[in-house]
Amino acid sequence: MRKWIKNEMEKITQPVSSDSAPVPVSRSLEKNIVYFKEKLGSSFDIMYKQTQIGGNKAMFIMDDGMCDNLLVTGQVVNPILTARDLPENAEEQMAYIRDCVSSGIDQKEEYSLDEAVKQVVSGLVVLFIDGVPFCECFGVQGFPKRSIENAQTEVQERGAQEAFVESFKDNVALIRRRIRSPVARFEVQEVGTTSQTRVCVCYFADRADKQTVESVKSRLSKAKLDVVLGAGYLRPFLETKVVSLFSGVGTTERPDTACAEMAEGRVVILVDGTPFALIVPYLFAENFQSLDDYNHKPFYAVFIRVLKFFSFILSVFLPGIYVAVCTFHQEILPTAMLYDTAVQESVTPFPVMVEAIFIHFIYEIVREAGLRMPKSVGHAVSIVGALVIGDTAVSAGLIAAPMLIVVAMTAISSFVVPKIYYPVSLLRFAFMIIGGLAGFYGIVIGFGMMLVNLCAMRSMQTPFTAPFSPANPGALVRDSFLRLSWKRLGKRELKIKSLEK
Amino acid sequence: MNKVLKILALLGLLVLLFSGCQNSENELKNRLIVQAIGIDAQKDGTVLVTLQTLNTEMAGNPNSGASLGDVVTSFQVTGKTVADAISNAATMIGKKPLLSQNRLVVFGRDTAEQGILEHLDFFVRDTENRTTVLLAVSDTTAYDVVSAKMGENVLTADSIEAILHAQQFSTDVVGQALYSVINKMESDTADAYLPVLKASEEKEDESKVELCSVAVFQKDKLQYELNEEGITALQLLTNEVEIGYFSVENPEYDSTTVLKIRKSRVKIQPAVKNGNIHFDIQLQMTVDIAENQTENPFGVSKEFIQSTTKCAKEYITNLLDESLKQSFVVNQADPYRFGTRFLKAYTSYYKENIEDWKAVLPSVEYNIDTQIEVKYVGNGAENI
Amino acid sequence: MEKSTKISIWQLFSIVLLSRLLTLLTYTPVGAESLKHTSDYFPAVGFAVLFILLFSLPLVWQRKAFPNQDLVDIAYYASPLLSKGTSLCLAFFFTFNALTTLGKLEWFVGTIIFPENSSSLFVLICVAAACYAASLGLEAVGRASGISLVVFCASFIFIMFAMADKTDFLNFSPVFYDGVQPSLKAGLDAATRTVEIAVLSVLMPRASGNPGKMYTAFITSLGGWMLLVFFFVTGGLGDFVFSQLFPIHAMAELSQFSVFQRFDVLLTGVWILTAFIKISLLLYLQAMLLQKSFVPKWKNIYILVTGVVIFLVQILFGGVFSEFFFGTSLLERLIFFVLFVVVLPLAVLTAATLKRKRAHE
Repeated sequence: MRKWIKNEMEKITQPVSSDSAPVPVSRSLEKNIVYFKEKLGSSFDIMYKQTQIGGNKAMFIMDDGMCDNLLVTGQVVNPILTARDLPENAEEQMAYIRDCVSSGIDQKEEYSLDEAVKQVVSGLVVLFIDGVPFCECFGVQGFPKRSIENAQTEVQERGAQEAFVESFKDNVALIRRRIRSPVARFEVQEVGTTSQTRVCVCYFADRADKQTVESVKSRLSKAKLDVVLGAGYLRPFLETKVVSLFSGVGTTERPDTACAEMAEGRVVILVDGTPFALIVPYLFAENFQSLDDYNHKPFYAVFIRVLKFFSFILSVFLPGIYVAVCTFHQEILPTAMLYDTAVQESVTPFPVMVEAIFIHFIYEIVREAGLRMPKSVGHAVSIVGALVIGDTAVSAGLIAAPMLIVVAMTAISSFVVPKIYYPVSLLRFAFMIIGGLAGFYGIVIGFGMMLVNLCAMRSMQTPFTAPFSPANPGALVRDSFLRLSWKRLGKRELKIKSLEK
Repeated sequence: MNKVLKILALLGLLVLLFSGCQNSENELKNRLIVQAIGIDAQKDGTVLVTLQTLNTEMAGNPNSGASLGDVVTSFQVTGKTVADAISNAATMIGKKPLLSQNRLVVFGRDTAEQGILEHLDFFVRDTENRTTVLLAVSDTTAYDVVSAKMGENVLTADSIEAILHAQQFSTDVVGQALYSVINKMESDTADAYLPVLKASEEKEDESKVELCSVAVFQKDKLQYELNEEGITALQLLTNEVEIGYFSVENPEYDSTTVLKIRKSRVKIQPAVKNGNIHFDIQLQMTVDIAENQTENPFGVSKEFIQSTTKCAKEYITNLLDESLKQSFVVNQADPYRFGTRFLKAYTSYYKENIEDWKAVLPSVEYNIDTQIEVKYVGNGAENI
Repeated sequence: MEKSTKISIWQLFSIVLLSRLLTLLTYTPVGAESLKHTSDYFPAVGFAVLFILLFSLPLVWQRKAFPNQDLVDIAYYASPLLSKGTSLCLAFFFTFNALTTLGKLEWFVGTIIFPENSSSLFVLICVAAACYAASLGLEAVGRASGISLVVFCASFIFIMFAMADKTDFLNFSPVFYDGVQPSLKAGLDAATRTVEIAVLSVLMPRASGNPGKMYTAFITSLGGWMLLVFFFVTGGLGDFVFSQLFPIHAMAELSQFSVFQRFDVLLTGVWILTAFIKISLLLYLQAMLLQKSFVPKWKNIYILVTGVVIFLVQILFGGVFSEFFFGTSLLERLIFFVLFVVVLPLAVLTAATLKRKRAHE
């Protein structure tokens, strides 16, 4: 039964195109054209221009939507067709065109028809000449793309206002502009059997761990995926083996953050078509860091980091602790607060745990609806959420006012650390259930399990909870809860590798 | 195999976890929040327990303007023991009592005279009860104090607790927590003491509760009481004074001066002199002049201060002397823990010569040396 | 056999210190470790430390003669059969201690936290969580114990700071009021609860660093913490200590500072967390030992089976293990302890040393 399920799963995830031996470019132009038409079918955007170059039959093939037509005409077709003194021999002709006629720099030869097809659908113009066992590809990409905008998910007060875009070449340019050093390396590989998505592995050659870089490249190449449409597709292949709600792979939308991570010896992965870069290794402590910390004075940065950590604890544990206190541990509350809480809770029909889960669930629904709604309607959702759930539910006696305060504080706190919003949301529910069933005892055991789970994780051989555990006093003082001044921080980052060896 | 085992383990855990869902009797809204407990032992051997509880039952939704009525309500229940009586309260009222918020235990006078240790066992053994709960004795019955209503929205136990905590800024108040009382009661060389509260009706449906004296116990039975001066002496000799006031008559200037104690430290040195147990008591006090009632009230002269200081010294020395006489000689009681000090300093002597510390008390000698320094005289000083 | 994981010496320090501090937290003044006079605790701590040092002598020999090998490896060198026997004995010892720890936790939870609820649920939660933590490996437990130790120390420092003004020197009785014997007995009893010596005999080779320094730090910290805790417990509560089943919890109830009034909740959390770490460690160790000498791939099965066994034993046999320290005499417990912590290592070391001598000859 298990084998059957496994086989069925593999069938669904099997890539459409299977691995086969590469087909070389034929000397016969007709054969090459037939191969192209077989592979690309009758897609309307694939254009074929048959012509004669110096007495030899030739064919230009391009993808209309992916190429800049002006460049095609000005850099490729016009110079070739109007070229004089072309050699008669077809191969010499091709070489002459490559070296002396075409005015672009981005060009290459392909000896495989499959590669030639790939180049066409990537926005290059391909030239076949009858009798030549290779083709020439000219880079004239001009596909539609978004201009550089503000970061939507990582808002910074004092940092740059640029964010990554979908084109990974533009993203590389954004990084190059900030790090004008030859140590910055950008290595491209393709992932996704059908989508052939280009993925760029970026790192600093003088500080990134070689083993990590090789490991990243190896894992990406072994990723069995059909299409890769987002950075998140690749995340599981870079994660640790330990199953956890938290991730050992970071993401960023900002080029300045990516540069900072690379400067610390991390590896950044840009995925073509996604404005989010992946970062490995990524530590738990980094969820509480932002670029603004480094633009402010250290005192304020320390305050903000402590505030973030405190907000994280609030957002995970506050609802669970409230439920546990109201159900099992009423002695914790001061009398005045106990009295008010008891009076408010006395009119609600549900147990505290049910009330807590219900109201948090409603909050998540409103939040998700607000995220997916068109902006014009989003305001209405906010009003409905605030009025209906906030005010009316309390007036109707469905939930108690203290519960609403707890929800509000939890919600606000969770937005202080947006990078871990999703695991925090789930953990919150877990702790609410544990608190309602097993009180403070269950919450502590749950905390212990969460702690051990975090401690078991590794991000590319680096312990996830470093520098807290294993404790690295130098790193702790430099840039964790505390942050030293740039005069000290400017020195090269301490290595946070596997410390147990 | 591993995954299957993990899934089975998780399912089993979930089933067991959710089996505890019917825990509604522990919810806050279903609990009777007890604020104070009064204990009166009856002649027939039963115990009458008075529970002062918070009234959290709403007639409607508080957010829609519904009112609560009285903040506190009192219930009287009877049982063979304290635990029995409290369990009877649950059957009478239909809610499980929440004792962890209890802040005061009051014993009736008669109960205190019979002995309170047997009733204290429940408060030590029951884990909901806190070791820091305050104990007190009522001038009449515990019911009078615990059921007293001090105002429409006043939490009575809160107010009484505040009165007993006034020890921090008054020498006339004493507060004793459960652990401290048990500590003293279990000791052979010290006696426990508890504040005595008196409830009196001021207006219709409104009472006043005040501290009227301090009861000193012989083991666990009420033996005698200390008046206001005796309480002050007790505070001074046990180093419990933080801030306090006392007044001094100065016949030379025909004045009554109220002195505020800024700092008070006592050193008690035990010794054995000529086969007798002897204590050297050195009291050092720093005071301020709080008020001066005389013909010329606002100005104080150096001579006046010196004279007043001398009178204050005499007053305090006499105060301590009288209190010690009353305790040691008249009542053979040691609420000041002199015996504990002697035991620590002269352990072998104590083991060899003393069987019962209380029997030795009348023959104990002591020497009192009081040092008082006036630090500030407040505003309105002339000629200083 | 899987490649052995290495932890840092300070993680090992955290593990053993936390494990022993839990034993301190669960102190109950009943039985041999009870004392009648408050000041007798301080010399008892001194005696306990001395006895622990004495019982650690086989560990010193192990470190000097066989520096990078644990007891099972040394036994294997002498004889494979001896190695299997040593594994089984130590696994049994660790499982037994996990049971007593769980028993004490269940007793604490059933008495203080949930006096009216069935404790089987809480035992199940603890065992399930401990099995999960043990399955994640030594590194995870080691790192978690490092963080937990910081939480423990911070909580206790906070509690002791709040207890400072409640400490009354009159609450301390004269030292050795009834002679030296009560303190000596109490110290010996405390020393026989130190499972950490056996833990070190197994984990020392798997820690990178100077074990001598670590052990000195462990003994010093342990003695210091015990003295501090007893100072505040007895100074604050006085003779009231002897009427409380969990006097350290009573001390936490007493400690208040400004608006912070419920520090016993803090202590309860620390207690539960520490017990969880200790039980996880003991489950991991017994699985590791069985893995070494029997089927290597069954690590998670050993953990799960032992978890189920200790859960069932705890539920079915009620408070047997929680009362282990009161139902048995000091001599019986001393024999049991010495057998596993002193006699077994000495036997193994002697056999291995003799074999090595013969090999040289």
